[in-house]
Amino acid sequence: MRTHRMPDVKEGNVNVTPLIDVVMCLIIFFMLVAKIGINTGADKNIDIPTSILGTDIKDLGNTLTLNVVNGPVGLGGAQPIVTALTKEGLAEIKLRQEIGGKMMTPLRDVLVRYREGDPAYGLAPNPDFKVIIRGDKSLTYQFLAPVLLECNLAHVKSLAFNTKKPE
Amino acid sequence: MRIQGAKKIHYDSGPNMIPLVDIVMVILLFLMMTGTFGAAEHFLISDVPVQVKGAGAMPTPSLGVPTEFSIKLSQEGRYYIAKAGHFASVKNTDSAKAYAQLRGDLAAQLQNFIAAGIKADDIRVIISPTSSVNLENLLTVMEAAQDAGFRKIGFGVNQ
Repeated sequence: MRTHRMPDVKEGNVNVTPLIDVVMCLIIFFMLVAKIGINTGADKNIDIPTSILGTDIKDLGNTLTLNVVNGPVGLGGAQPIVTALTKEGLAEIKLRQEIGGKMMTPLRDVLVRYREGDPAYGLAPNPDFKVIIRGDKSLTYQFLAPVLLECNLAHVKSLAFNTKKPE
Repeated sequence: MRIQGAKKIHYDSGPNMIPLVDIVMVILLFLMMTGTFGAAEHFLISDVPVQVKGAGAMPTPSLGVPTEFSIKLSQEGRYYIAKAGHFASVKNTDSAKAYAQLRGDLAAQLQNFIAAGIKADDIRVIISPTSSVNLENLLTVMEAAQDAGFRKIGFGVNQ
């Protein structure tokens, strides 16, 4: 009977093909899942509250994130410090501002612009527009209420509070 | 002079994969370091317009929701006190216990509404906090109401 010899063991390089397969799969995974270069305007320095319940907003294109922290209490009531992503980056948006002797409402104007659209800013009308409120957990209601009021006056239909998942 | 020939080519060695592996590893590391996944955060959503009370308040747009259920919220130190409907109050000296009690009371309240023939979708919960209530306590109460089964939860603002 003819016997077969065992094949010679090749003392060559390490077989890297399985490594490449795995790494390519990881790359595809990260490319699909990771959000690279997306700035929602969320201020990461704000310590947001924790909640067990909560949903994910898939379409962040319909949203504007307002970072709200406690501000000064003046004659006109509580003045929260609101920041949001603008063309110039993260900038403060005042609730009330006197321009040329006339009292303006910059925050409300921005919200209306996002909801109704403004071709000058490249914004199309968006009836599904949502406001995300990213408030510090120590933010008191006297500072939150004026922001909610402005959202109401701008006819924003939906508010979402940004919270973190418990560890 | 003897001319040295080219090195012997190993035809069975295949293409050199080392540069490919190097590049792929760099791309992988870049994606892992720069990518944000946002899995650590989520959102509590309120679809109910803010209810404004006081002088000069504008009428709240009607959503065809006939039943309103109000939760009064105040703050004592770092604790909250919630008062609503048929339950007297819940104070969160022990936050987990207070949350369970509040959730239970609100769920019982919802059952009363359902027993009276009112659907959960037809009830609008309005949380009316005092000015000193902080966001953490406010969202805890909102979460308890959502957890109890209420679907339309909004806020009251005194002008």
